[in-house]
Amino acid sequence: MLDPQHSLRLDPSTVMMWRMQRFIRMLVVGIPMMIAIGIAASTMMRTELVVVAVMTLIAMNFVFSLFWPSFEYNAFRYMVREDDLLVQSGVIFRRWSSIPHNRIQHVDTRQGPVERIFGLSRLLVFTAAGMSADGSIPGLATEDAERLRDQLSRRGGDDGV
Amino acid sequence: MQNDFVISSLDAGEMMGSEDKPENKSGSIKDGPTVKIPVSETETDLPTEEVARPDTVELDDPPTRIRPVPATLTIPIPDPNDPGPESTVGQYLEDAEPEQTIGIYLKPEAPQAEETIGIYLKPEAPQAEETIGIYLEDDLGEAEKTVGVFLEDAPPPAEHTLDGMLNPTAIAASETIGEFMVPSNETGDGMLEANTILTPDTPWKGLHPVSLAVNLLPRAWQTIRSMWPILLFVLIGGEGAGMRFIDLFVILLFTLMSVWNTFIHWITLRYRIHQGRLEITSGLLNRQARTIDPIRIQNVELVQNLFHKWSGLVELRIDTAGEQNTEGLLSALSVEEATTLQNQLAAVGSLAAAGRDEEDNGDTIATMGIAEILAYGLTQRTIGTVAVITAVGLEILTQAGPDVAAEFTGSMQPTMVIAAFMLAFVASWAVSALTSVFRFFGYQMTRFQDAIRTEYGLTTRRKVEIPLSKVQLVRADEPLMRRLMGYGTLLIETAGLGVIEGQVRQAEGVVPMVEQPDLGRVAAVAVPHTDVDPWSTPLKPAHPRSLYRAIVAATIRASFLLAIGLAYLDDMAWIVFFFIPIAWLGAWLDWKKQGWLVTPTAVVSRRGFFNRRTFILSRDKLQSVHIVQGPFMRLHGLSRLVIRVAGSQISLPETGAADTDWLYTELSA
Repeated sequence: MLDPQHSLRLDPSTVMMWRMQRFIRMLVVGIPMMIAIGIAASTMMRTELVVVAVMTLIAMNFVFSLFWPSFEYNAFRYMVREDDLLVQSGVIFRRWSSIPHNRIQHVDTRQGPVERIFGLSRLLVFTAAGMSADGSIPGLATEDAERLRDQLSRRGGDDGV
Repeated sequence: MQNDFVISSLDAGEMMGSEDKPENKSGSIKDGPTVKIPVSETETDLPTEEVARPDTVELDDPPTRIRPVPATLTIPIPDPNDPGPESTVGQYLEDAEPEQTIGIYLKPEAPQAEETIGIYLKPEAPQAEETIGIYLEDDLGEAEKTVGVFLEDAPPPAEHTLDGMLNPTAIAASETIGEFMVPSNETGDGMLEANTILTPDTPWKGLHPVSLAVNLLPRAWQTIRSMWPILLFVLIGGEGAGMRFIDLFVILLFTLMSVWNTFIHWITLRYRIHQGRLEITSGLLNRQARTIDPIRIQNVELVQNLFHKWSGLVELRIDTAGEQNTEGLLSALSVEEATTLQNQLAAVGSLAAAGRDEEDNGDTIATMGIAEILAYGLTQRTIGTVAVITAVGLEILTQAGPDVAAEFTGSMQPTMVIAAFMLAFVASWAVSALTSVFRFFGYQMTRFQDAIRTEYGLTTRRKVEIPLSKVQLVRADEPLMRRLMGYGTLLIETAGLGVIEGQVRQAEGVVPMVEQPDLGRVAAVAVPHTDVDPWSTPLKPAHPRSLYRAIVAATIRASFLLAIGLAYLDDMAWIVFFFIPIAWLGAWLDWKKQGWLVTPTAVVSRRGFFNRRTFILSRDKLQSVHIVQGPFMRLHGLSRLVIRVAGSQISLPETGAADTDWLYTELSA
């Protein structure tokens, strides 16, 4: 729905960052878990079968981690309009969010260790509608994120609570 | 910025302590007390009265706008060394045009090194009452600095004139001058309106002495509840000699702890209103101080449990958005003190009770008879209760002895199982009816000018007051049973989010049983700014293709049941094939009853057949708008609109993608 002409995309290095995050998650959580399940399963099934299954799963996970971030990147667009912030996200489950400027309670920028390597930041926009960030924009160059944060948080108005 | 006139003269640069309004800082407020204000000889120079107007003021603006006093105007500030702690200075300025009035009021009063300055601006436009009050208070001695900005019924031009200096808080257009007046005892007739905007500071106050007795048992229960694993372990786990002594010791310890806690709470708890904020401190070793800004208060509840009732005291509970609530903190106060505090809080914040006349007893909107309360209890969902009762029954059996239990379960016939379930159902109905009688006895809902009050309860009497401006949405629950009896339940949700023991709690007003023809009327009371009655207006249906999706989903769900049924039932297996048509019927009924409506002021969404829910929300409460579209929805060209308000979110039925896009644009505009 957001047309490519007027909407903005994330920083291109986001794709690499997401890949790296997925690989790290795979190494730290995914592979040990699968090996543990494999060991448990090998008491019931033939060991070769279990090894093949685990290897296949790991390979699939690898391929997925390689390609999925670029799909995600292409699906993500955002746009600051006069009255609101528009965020489009999701490859399979699409989501378009509109957050009026005057309903923004506060705006955060956050940076994790991997994001720091790539010089990127996340922008989290909070409204009064709950605890979680309503619209969040991952993968912005840090100075862009900070500029956007200042731009969004400067406006005030009735917060409707 | 055009407002660099008065405030600049008041050394106000540091007064702007309000962090929610960063734009305040951007105002051209300069430091330096360069201007002097003459000390007026008379105390009758009130801004609202037409007296003593210096001719130096020249205002040539259109009456709807507030413009700064020209730079030539000098407002002398009184000499700080000027004696007279109660000295009051008033200056009144008025333009040649009779419609426009600006009053400036400065009042340095020094009770304890505190200086208070009030500015009051009031342009009287010909067409309507437009009032803007600014009130600044500077506590010079302390690091704490408070600025209160009060804006009432500001028309758009006035907002622009102030140019971001003031947060253009939307205040209902129905409000008129004078409603912000504090029902105060201190600001007498001779004082000024500016002074009445802020509730005067009150001295520290404590709890009522009888609260020691009132709180003892609830507190003991609280202690036991938080420590029950240890208690259970000690009391049941130990066997043999000497254990009896330990048991006794533990019980004694717990009793002493509860008494000590209650005593400490009573002796240390102090509250006061200071600089327009409520401060509550408590605790001896673990001191706790809480400051509550009345503007943040969502609602104030007066609660009476059995002990309160006997002693004629009340507990005051305050719900604030996003902060912990004050359950058990202000227990117990005398009724007068609680009411006074409630009124004081209301006066500063946007709570409703402030402007209420003494005689305003409100209109009774809804009451409930005992038959209705019983009907409510009987139509509550009972599955959970049945499970609990079955579990308790089994537990009793096991306690009675393993032999008895084995004998009982061994000799059970299918008919007996069914009978047992019937019994459990009847018992759960009885429990449900009884609890609802206790909870809702003597229910009454009253509407005041800008608040709703509900009052109910047999042993614990609750009085919930919800300011209309804080209502986020109204939800009508009409479960099938209740609907067949001709009733529905209304829930009024506010943004009073508080996290208690990890659970998000919402302040809610409830109208348990409303007759169907009355639903629209009662709902309209809670959301007065909307103009829609979903029970008399036809709603727009969900998209036809979403029926197809619903049927597919229902078939998949029924197939699971079917598989389980086929696996476990032998000769009765044919029954399960009725699941699928029943599921289809359910899906169709559900789809048929869905509906939505978007009017210029409101959004309505209705879903569900067996447990029908209707949401009505005022569009000015909307926080953000989202479109959600799954892969199958995309295939059918459908999508769904989700609207978030503070504290909850509602989703509309599935609509065609083009419709949803249009709605999205409409609502996010």
